[in-house]
Amino acid sequence: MIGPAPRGRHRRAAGTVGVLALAIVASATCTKIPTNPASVFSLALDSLPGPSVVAGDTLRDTNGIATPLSGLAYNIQNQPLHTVRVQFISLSPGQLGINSSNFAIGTPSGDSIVRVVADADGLQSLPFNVPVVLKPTNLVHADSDSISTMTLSLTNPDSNVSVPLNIFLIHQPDTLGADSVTRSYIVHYQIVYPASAAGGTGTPTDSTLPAYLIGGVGQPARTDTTDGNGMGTRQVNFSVAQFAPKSQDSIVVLVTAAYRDSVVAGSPLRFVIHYTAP
Amino acid sequence: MGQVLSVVSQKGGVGKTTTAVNLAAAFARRGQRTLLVDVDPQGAVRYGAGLRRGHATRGFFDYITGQSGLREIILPTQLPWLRVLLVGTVTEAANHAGYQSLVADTDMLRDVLTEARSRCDVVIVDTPPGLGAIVRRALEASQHALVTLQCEPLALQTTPQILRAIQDIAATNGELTLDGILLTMYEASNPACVRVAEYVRKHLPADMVLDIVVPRSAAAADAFAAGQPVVLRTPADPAAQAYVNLATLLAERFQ
Repeated sequence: MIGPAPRGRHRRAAGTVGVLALAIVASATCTKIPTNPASVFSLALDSLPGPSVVAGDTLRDTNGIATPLSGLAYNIQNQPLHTVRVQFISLSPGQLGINSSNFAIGTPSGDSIVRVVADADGLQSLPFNVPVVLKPTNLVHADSDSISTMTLSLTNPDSNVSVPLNIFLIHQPDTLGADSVTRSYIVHYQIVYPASAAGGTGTPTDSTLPAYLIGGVGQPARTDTTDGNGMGTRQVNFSVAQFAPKSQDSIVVLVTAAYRDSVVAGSPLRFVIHYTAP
Repeated sequence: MGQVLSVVSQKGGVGKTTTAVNLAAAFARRGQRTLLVDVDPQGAVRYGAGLRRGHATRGFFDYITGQSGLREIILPTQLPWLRVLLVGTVTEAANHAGYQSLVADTDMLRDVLTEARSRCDVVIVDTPPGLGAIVRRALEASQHALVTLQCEPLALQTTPQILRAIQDIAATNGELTLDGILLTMYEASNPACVRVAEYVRKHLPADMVLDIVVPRSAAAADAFAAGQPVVLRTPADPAAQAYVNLATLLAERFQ
């Protein structure tokens, strides 16, 4: 129920005062907008150089080079403020430390997803995730059979996509204990036979090849990042029109994972797909 | 992969575009790569997103009709990490039926959002009011939905419809999550408004109605009139603060 008229009027009057107060506050706060071209107005953070940090190691890019977190502050005119320092802060320093040069270092006990924020002259970014993962020590087939057979089809595109080529990336602890897995870690797939399909780059141009590697939504992709179960997967897509009628042969795919300068034990894993063209 | 958030409501004029624009700015200002996509043929995003003067007017419609490439219609803003995809020249047409059926009958909206998701942290979609094919298509390609609800009595009658629609689409799009109902244009001094807010909180599950409420604010209206998100123009305004807090909350959920 709405109250009696006098009270209502009182409320309206109070509301008017409130609006006036709001207007005063708003006009006062307008002066706080960082219109000074030297002041930070927004932040732009660069993508993580790699998908994860290995526990006990530094965040590295996909070539294995230690790379700091980075970002840039901008003023209200959208001009970069190169002299303003963007500092990154770990919200779980027990799992991930970040030094003054913004190198992120996973603590030896780390195995979790750590939230990180950036700060530039008091403007704080929204938090983002940096996974700290166990060091990969073994690459293994996820399924018992690494050899599969396909009959290609001119009319059914589903018949021209291989079974998932699943792998697990394992972490075997140095001391006795159950194996664990390495999440959020890059694994590389490559078709090595036949030569006509071996030049895949993981880009859309691959779709001109007789066979190429694809990701979960069908896009050409040679690399995968292991999921929460330590599993990586790709499939092979066959461009069936490029195969001689009734031809029979195999596609061979190798999978590798590397940590720093060394391949992970078990690499390369081999998958063989026997096919029969229509 | 980034996350696609569709801002939806059954009724028009309930702060949907204002919410989409300000959320996008709040995400981008704090370092998230953000794309704001307008699929509402009314095309109101172009008036409030802080686009640069003389920007292109082509957009999503022009892309799906083959008149423009994606690169030329992704527009920069005053924030380095915020880009905008307008709905395009369909706003100038008297009849939007062709646009609606084109979106309904093809996967082009899904393809655009999937592509955007692979390049951005957050993609925010401003949808037309109601439960038409465009909204359904947007929700089918989204991971998150936010329902805006103006604190006025009619809103109560239309809310169940949009919630049912989200439930229906979630049955086929397993990724879709309803992030909540956002009460907008809230006036603590207006008894009817307060009653509606109380009613909504009482009759819907507690976690469905967001604690964050966007107050009606002169600064928000002024900002839109000036062509800017209020979170940039008047950051200390209570409405701006609400959107910043909402972006913080959603960023936590998106991870």
